[in-house]
Amino acid sequence: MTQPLLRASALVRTYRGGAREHAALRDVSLTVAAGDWVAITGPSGCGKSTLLHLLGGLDRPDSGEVWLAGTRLDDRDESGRALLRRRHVGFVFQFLNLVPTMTVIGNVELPLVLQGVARREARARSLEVLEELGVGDAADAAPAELSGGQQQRVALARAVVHRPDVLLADEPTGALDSASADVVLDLLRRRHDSGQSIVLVTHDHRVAAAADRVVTMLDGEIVDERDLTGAKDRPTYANLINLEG
Amino acid sequence: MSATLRLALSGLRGRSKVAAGATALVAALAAAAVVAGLSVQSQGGPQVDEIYRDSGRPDLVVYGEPGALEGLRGDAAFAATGPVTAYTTGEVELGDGSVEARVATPPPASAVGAPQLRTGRWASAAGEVVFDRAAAVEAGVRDGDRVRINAAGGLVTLTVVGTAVDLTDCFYPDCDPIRLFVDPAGLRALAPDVADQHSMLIARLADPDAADAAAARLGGSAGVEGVQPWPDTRDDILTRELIFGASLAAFGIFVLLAAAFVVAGTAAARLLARRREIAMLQAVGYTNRQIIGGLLAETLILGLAGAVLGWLAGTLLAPFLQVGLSAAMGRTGLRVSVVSLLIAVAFVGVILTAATVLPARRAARQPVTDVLRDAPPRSAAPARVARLLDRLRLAPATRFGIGTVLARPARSALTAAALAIAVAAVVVAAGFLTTMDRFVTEPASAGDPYDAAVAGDGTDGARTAAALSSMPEVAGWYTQTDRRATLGEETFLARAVGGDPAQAGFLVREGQPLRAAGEALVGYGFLKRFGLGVGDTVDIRAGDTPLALKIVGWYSETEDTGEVLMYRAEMLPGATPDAFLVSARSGTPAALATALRERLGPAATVHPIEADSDELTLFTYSMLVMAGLVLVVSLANLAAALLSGARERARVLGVLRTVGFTVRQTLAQSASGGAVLGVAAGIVGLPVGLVLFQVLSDQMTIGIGAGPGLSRSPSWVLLVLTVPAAALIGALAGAAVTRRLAGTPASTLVRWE
Repeated sequence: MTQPLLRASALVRTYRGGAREHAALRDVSLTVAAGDWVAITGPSGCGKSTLLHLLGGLDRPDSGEVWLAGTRLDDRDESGRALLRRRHVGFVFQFLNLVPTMTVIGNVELPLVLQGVARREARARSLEVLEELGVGDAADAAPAELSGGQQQRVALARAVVHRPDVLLADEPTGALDSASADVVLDLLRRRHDSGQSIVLVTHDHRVAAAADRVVTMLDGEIVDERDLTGAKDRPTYANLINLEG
Repeated sequence: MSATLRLALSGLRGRSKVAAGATALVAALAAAAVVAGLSVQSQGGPQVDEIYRDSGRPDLVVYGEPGALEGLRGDAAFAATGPVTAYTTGEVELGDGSVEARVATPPPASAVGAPQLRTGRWASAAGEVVFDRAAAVEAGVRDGDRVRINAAGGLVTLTVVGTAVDLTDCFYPDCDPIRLFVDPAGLRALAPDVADQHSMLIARLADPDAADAAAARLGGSAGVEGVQPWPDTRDDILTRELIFGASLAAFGIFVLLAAAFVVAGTAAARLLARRREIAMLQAVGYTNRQIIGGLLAETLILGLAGAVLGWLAGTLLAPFLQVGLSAAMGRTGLRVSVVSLLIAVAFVGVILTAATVLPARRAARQPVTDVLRDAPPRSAAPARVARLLDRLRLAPATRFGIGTVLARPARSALTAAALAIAVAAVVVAAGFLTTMDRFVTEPASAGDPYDAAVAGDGTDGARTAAALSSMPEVAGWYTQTDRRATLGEETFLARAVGGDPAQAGFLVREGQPLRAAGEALVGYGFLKRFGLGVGDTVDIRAGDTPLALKIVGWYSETEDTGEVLMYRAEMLPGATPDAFLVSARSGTPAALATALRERLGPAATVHPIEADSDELTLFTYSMLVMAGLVLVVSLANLAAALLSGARERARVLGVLRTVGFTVRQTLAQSASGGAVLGVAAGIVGLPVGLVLFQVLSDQMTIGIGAGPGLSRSPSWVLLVLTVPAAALIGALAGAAVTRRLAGTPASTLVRWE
């Protein structure tokens, strides 16, 4: 049996603020195979981003396990998880993804430089990805000089330039107008078609419908999971769920 | 309540108690330093004036023959005089050495110039003595102690029954002889032969402002050996207080400047953090003026609280910062000065206003819509900086750390400036300490180029001179005979110098050493007081001897604040040297003194020169404390600026962690930023400190009469290490303030608001 790329089992995560506690995740399990595109959707505060952060090793669960590429992630310290992320994970967020004091090319080549790739090669590979995502001309610009859509494409370039096993995206189109969102979605689709595993958190049913599998969360639990592989009428998937009202 | 005040109070409520306390504390430290400096400068004067009044206003002290002094008592310039008082001189054993003493019977308590009893009682028997208060405190002599005095009558042991302050000269150790008081029988025991007794007269003038003129006139009278006017004595008593107070106040300005940069930096950071709140207020109708007024009022309320606290602290501290006076007169009481409170409030107010208004204006002028839709702050940004840094092959953490410093140049400059002031303060303090050390270890800097002194009283001058010339331990010697002299209507100390002063090692700063009759070598204070220069000719009267002298040079001298004129002893024929000043060929002053005692016999009074370092201890510690204070304030500011910067960048740090930054890299980026600020501070602070040190030290050495150019720069090791040390401190501060963020989960950082 093929080992899953990403496996989370019985995850529990509770946030504590003084005397108040908020259970963000309650016994959540999820498996992502290589080449999968999983969309996690649900209303605000349901635990989507928390789950994504645990999957990428940005945080540790109170209990449960996270395995990435055959390596247990949750029992490593902060730096140990950072080293694993460098190799296996790419992240994209809703906004403010880029380091403002670095140029576009500086941002994109960062994961390669951190992995020790020679600067010349890192630059060449970064330019290649930027060209592929249609922002090659902006390589020497500062992030503040780009539009929101362009910035998100640069963020995507940085997330994939080191060819991670999995791309974790948190509302990647949430701050974009519909045209820019379409471009980003199309780019994600093309990366997936070329074999990239993607786990994506979104409110947008249209974006969720582009995934192979849609996981729906509510109050820290997975309440629905659907496989859309081969579904004939994906764009109408939004009509199938009605959990966000 | 006005909208502006409401905004200010709301801002104060919203501040963390620690941050508000820090702002008030910085203002308090600055105010305390300035107030302490001003108080030290001014507190001695009233204290001295009070005891001058209590002593019946002794405006003139006239030394001379008893008959001549009796004749002067009816002088028209005198409002009142004490009796002509007999005194003798001797040596008092103090610790391992001895000090010259003048022993007199005290005049009636109501007489002009009567000494003021501080402890115990007056002597009532031959075996009792009242000791000089300043010397008693300095040497640890207490009532009941027994002291040995070597006078004309031989070695006598007396019991100390009290201590007193006497205003006929400034206080020990700045001036000697020390003054002792015995009863008439005691004086007779010390000087059985009347020829060993001298006389003095203390007078109150009808016009105290005419003391110098009267001294000049009387100095030339027959039978008068010298006249000491009160203004000279008062200046000598207060010189150290003035210089020390000025130094403290100058360092207070350092603290104040550091505080200004601290407040400006923290204000800028805080306003950036409150930009949304400010935009909301603008949205509901606050005008820019109200916003700026509210933000300014918020800072000024904290500053006012700090200034009052600082004024209180400075006022309480000042009595403990007395140099010289406290030994003689006890600690001054608390002097509550409304003027110093107003000065402190004004200083702090001006500095805080300047530091707050600019960032407040920027905050009020931000585009409201941008802020309300959470657009990132507009900055001139870092496109050029980013491209420049991209060209450098720096490690990612270093690259990011430097980039964040350069991305906010104004705030980084403020932080570096505060640290640069600390660097400058350390350089200035180190320079002062090195210069002080020079004055202690090189007596020639203070006008004392000898290792031991042989008292001239009671010795055969020719025999002593012959003995000194034959001793292998003696490298050279000269004699001095002091007289109060007059130039026009003003008096000063004139010193007839015999032997070979050209070889004595006087620190001649301009012109040439004293070689021949008709020449004069003067202290810098003399040139300054009389507006003269090297090459000028002066006609003076030394005692009743008129002298025409050409000034051939000036030398470093601190006695009488440098208002000293030296001329050849050949021009004062028949005068007995007051002392033979001897330089050692090798060995210590104590060894030379021992050799001199052996050679000259037990009748000779010999003193090795002693470095008067005790008095400098308070000065030294105060300098170090003040420099340390500036350093602490600046480092606290550096830490606060780096911390607020790190918090502002928390989300970016989170993004970097998602990309693969480790905890160590997170720390390293902040350390890099701190190091850059440290390097900038070192590069700016070092030359600024050196220039300031030159200016301030020249002011100090001119103030004490020694003249400019005597300062000695801090050691080159310290100077070389300054920039690396500043960089290291910056790096450590950077790493320290980011420790908490580095340990924060990346998921928290990427959600950072």
